[in-house]
Amino acid sequence: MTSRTIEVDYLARVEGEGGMSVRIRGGKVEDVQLRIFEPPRFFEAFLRGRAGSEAPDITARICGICPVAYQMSAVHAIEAALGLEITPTIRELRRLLYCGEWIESHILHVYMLHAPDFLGYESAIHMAADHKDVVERGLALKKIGNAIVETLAGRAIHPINVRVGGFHRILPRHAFRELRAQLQEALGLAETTVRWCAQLDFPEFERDYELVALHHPDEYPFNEGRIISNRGLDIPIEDYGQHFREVHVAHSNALQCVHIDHGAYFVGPMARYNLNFDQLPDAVRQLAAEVGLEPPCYNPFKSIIIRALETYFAVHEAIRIIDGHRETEPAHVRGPIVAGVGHGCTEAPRGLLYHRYELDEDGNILQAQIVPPTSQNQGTIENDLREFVGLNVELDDEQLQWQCEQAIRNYDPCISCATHFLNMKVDRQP
Amino acid sequence: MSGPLVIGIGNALRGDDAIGLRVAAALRGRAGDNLRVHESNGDLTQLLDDFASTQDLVLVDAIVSGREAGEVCSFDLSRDPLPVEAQPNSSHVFSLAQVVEMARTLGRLPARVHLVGIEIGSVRTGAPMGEAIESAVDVAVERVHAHLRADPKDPTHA
Repeated sequence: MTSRTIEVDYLARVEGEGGMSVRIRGGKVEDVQLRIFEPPRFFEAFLRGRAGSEAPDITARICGICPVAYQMSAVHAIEAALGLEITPTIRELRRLLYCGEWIESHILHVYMLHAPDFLGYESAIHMAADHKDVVERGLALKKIGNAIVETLAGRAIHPINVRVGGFHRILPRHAFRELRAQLQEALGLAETTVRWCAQLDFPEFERDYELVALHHPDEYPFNEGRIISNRGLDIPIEDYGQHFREVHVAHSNALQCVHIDHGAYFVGPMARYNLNFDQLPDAVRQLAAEVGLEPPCYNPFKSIIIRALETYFAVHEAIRIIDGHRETEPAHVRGPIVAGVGHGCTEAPRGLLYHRYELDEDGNILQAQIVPPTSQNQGTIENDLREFVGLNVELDDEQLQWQCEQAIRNYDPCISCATHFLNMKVDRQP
Repeated sequence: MSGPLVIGIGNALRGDDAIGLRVAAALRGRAGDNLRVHESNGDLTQLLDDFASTQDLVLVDAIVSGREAGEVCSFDLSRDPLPVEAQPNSSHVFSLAQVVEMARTLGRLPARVHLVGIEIGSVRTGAPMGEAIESAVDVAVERVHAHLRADPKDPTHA
């Protein structure tokens, strides 16, 4: 038997840096370890002693691609601690903001990070040389996502108009006129994206995942709902800590999130989609049926289609909200500062994002806990790789590496705050 | 199309990775309205839009290339990509080198593009910029001005 070692310094096209190691003995996978995410411990510590009102601006800097998600989980948690209730207008506009972020993030992933894999290109740049119109379509869509966030929140990256209680300022409906026109154009671009993704070639790969997501009876979830799973979990978000925990697992050096007494679980678009399909508008469900992707879907490689469908949904939802927008006051609600504990759980583009804050009687943060979606998915990604490598062990190392990278990118992992580089090592011995 | 544009790229919360933003702020402070200066976290669409607004572009960003921390160097990206050994290392989503090459592939790259790269040390979250990097701000500002002063028709244009 022979021994092979491959070292790769970084995972291409995953935000930030990361890597993995694979050990193969006698043609069988013995071990797979993946460390691609470092939880935002600095931010949890940094938040201690800060005013709760600062949480949205501070946490927005955890991630350059999903600052809105961090802001939303933060404000909902702080508002819960203070007992604040937002108005229906604020609630709708927060959904609009999230629509912008989903479009930005999903489209960047679909066109720039993951599509090159499916088409056999080394990068989006190589893909653009042959498929300029495809890439231009992605850029046009992403720009519209940016425009939603910039119009509503003052800046496309690290929005500045979000605050505890609502917004600093709410624009009148006519200020959204240009955006509304762009969104009308985006409908066609998003539909084309769905159809284009659906015709890609997908590996046959499914596992029996525990899918976990927010669920709301009346809407596809962004900011509110209960946490449910396809295996019977149904809890209020305040009970998150009783059911999910970061643990040291025997086969891994990294902390992994587990559903207590159950194991690894799956958050993100495929979880949301399977658990909330009925909450999607008719047009989205119709398109899903046309491209043959009604649930259940347990093939993570098809997450790229689901992201495209969620983008199509986000465009529809953004139009609906803008068309219904009337009030600009109050831009935010206020209330007395009290001590308390608050939980916020929202659906970031990559999945469930949980925040918990404990406030003192002056409204300052005593303790903060932030659990991002990529942190929650690490165990599942590792388990995917373990099985995926086993199915592809006969590939040469270069091809195996590329296939594994594609498998990891199913989760669109966000490691923009990763703090260490890892080597990919395929260690084969007889 | 507007005149020259300088874009400082970075992350204010990631130690030395703030250098691009710091240089942009210094340029704006000294030039006022006489020079267009933007700040960016590296967002792909924002940068491509900025590229479309000028034919004379100077980018400022952190790099990791094995040089001494604080060393300032320049790269002419008008015709050729960034040398592999000087690929910017940052916490941005789509690296600057990739954005430039995407722009070139799509025909959106300005006619004249320079990168002023500052060699960095640590990008630890929450850490301040290192002293050597702070000291590089003025040098980087002067380098940017040198690129903008050079005559584009001069074959030795910097």
